[in-house]
Amino acid sequence: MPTDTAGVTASSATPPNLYGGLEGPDSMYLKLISSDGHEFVVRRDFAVIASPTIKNMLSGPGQYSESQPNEIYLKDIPSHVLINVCRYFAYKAKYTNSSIDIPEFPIDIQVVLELLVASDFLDC
Amino acid sequence: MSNIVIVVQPSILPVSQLLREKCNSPDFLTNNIWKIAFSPCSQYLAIPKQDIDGQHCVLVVHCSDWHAKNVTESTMRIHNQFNCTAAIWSLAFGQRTSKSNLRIDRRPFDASTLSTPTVRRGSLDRRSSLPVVNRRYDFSKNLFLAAGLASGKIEIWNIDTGELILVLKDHQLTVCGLDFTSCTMQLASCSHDTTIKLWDLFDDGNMYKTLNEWTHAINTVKWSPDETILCAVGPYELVVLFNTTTWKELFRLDGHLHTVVDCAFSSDSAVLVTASYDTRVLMWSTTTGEILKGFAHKIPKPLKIYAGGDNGAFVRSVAITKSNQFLITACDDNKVRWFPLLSDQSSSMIYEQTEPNVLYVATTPDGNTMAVSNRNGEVHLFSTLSTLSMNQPSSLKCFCRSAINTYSGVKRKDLLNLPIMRPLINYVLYKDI
Repeated sequence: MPTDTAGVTASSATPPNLYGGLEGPDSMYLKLISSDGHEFVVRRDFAVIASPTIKNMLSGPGQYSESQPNEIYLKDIPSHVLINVCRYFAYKAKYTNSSIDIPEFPIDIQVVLELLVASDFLDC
Repeated sequence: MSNIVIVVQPSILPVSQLLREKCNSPDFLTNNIWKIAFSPCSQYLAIPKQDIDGQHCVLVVHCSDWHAKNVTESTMRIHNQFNCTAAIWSLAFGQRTSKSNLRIDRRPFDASTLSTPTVRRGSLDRRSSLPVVNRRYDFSKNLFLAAGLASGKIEIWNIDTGELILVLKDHQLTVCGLDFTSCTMQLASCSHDTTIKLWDLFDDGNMYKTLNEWTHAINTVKWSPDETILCAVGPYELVVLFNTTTWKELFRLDGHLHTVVDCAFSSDSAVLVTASYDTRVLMWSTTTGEILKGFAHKIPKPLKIYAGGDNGAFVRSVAITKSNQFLITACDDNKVRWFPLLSDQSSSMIYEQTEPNVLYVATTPDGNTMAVSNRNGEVHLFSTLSTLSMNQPSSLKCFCRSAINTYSGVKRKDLLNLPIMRPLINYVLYKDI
């Protein structure tokens, strides 16, 4: 059942066949938790395609094995950076193999350095 | 990370035939077209020609859609024909774009990150555009074309009304290079009389600075997109970068072996590419002044004695496509080549096409079209979209690098001292290319 900590959670009150959920190994969504406890729910396929690190965290053994709860705790990435990462996942999914003009991804000057470190960690 | 195969297939556009008919019409003589220019809105193309009476003129061609499939007379037409008093050596379009294009962020970062520089436009605005002063000319609204002539004059035409607005007379000899800044209507001109002059068009064309430290001509001047650096290239292997606020030399870049004829900046002003008669295009970092990569046009590399002399493969012009994907060059061995700019694998070309007697390559700012001019008085148009369709969005790391370089502005040297790991700093400085 969805946790009740601060942040956005995928509610399983919506019909499961419409939106998918957070349960099980084939869930449609994934929960990324920032270092300050903010939870971001993103599409699993977007995150896995964009970031090989997240893909390894989900499928690999050992300390990264969090495939069951579908939650990934990123202890080095604060929420103001992680929200930009999630926006990038959506941007990339939208414009991959697109025939229209791809606009530039806007990045705010305040977060750009931390976003660089996070993107280096996530390899995206 | 899997390698995406980049396929480059520039295809000739249907409007190219129409343009060729217009250029080759019996009204015009066949001349060497040394320079062509696209407007910032990508809809106008300026071509210098000479008509049947020997009168030098500039044709401004308007086309709302260079990629139109059904080409009719209304798709592309000659918008203006400006008659000039002498041979035209250089062209530049200028238009005042809105301020939102340049990021002016004067708020300081928090203590743990890079300190914000004052972007050059801030200091410029204080100096030149006092709003209470009455000005004779208003350059803030329309699109303007500046043409540099062999007599040393610079004629500035208003494209929308078609009239000659201003003639800037100060150079003694041919004005061979012109460049407008991207949004503040500053014009830099360089000439065979060994000087570089800077004109402020918001101040009625006031020439506020002359740089004359050389005893030889300067071939080309270019502003960096964030207007903090001015690059001048010339014979005797000269490549020099100036700080545009203090007008002191930032770097004198050594590495070429022959005259340097053309240069281009990447969109974040961090990378400069220069084209030279020594058959190479070199890529430099504007932060550290080092050579990042070289692109060869003659393989095997010519010996120094040929590189510095006649080798048959002078590189005449270079252009960078939008989002710094590719480098396009025009070389005297009749080939137009495409190189991947930021690929860390290779520096070999990925495409070449044969264009007899090619002289100059220009790309539209929106990245869709490329024009190539040659010695036969023709201009050919190609679509670059077929390459972009293989274009995937860049990685987030790449966007961050581009954003950091764009924001750093005048304080570019501070990039060396960022509070992040050394490999990441090298990435930001493009050192791992």
